[in-house]
Amino acid sequence: TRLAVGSVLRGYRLHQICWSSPLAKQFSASTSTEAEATEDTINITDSCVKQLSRINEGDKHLRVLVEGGGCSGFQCKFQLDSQQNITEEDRVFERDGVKVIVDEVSLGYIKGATVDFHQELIRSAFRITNIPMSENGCSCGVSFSLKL
Amino acid sequence: QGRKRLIPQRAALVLSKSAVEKIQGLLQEKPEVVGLRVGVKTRGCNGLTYTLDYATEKGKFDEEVVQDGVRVFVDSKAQLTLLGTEMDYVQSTLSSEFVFNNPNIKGVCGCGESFNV
Repeated sequence: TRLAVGSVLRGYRLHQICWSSPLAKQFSASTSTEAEATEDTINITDSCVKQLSRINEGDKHLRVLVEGGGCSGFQCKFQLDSQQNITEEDRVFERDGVKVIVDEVSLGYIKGATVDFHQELIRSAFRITNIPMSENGCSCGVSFSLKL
Repeated sequence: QGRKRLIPQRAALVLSKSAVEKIQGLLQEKPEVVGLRVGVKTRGCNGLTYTLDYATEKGKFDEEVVQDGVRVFVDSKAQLTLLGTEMDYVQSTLSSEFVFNNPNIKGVCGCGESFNV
């Protein structure tokens, strides 16, 4: 039951943040748009570029989503998304011809992080590393919590 | 003397077709490797995670599983937790991984990365 309560609380917190952050963005956008533009970036590693250009069939881009879940609160999800699904709320990061799409709300959590394609014998998958806003996260390295 | 020798009734580990194909491919790339070794490690939020390594020789107490010409060793420490597990290889456009369908596990952590028995 402790776990259940914890996850409910976490879900609530996530909800709060999700609702409040677009408002906060609107306020700050008018004052420091340029400063934010240089700060809110996502780094893309060489292996990520390589893998993306390898699987890039029919103009698909990598979309990164932050969701509530995992043991530590937040988890990143990866999807392939096409060009026409990019909306105004999305930010697109490009390197060597490959694009990574992150929506504004998710970017709030993972700005400054690195998207990597990690290859191991047991698993090869995309992952997010070096999230500046995260605490050391869960010991599986899959989910993370935020420094508040 | 007189003690019955225990004979395993079924394979400790069953490989799926896709896993066999993937391991065959992996072993062809590295001729000096005899097989793969599956083990468990104390790591993660919920106790244990699986490990997978190249094996150049059979360890002393390793359980050897041979299926369709593919050799997989189960580490001695992992035999009890892995008994009856099916090893599968799942591939999608974004990720590819070995998945273990283990009937012995009691729970997994929220990330699905670690488990307990």
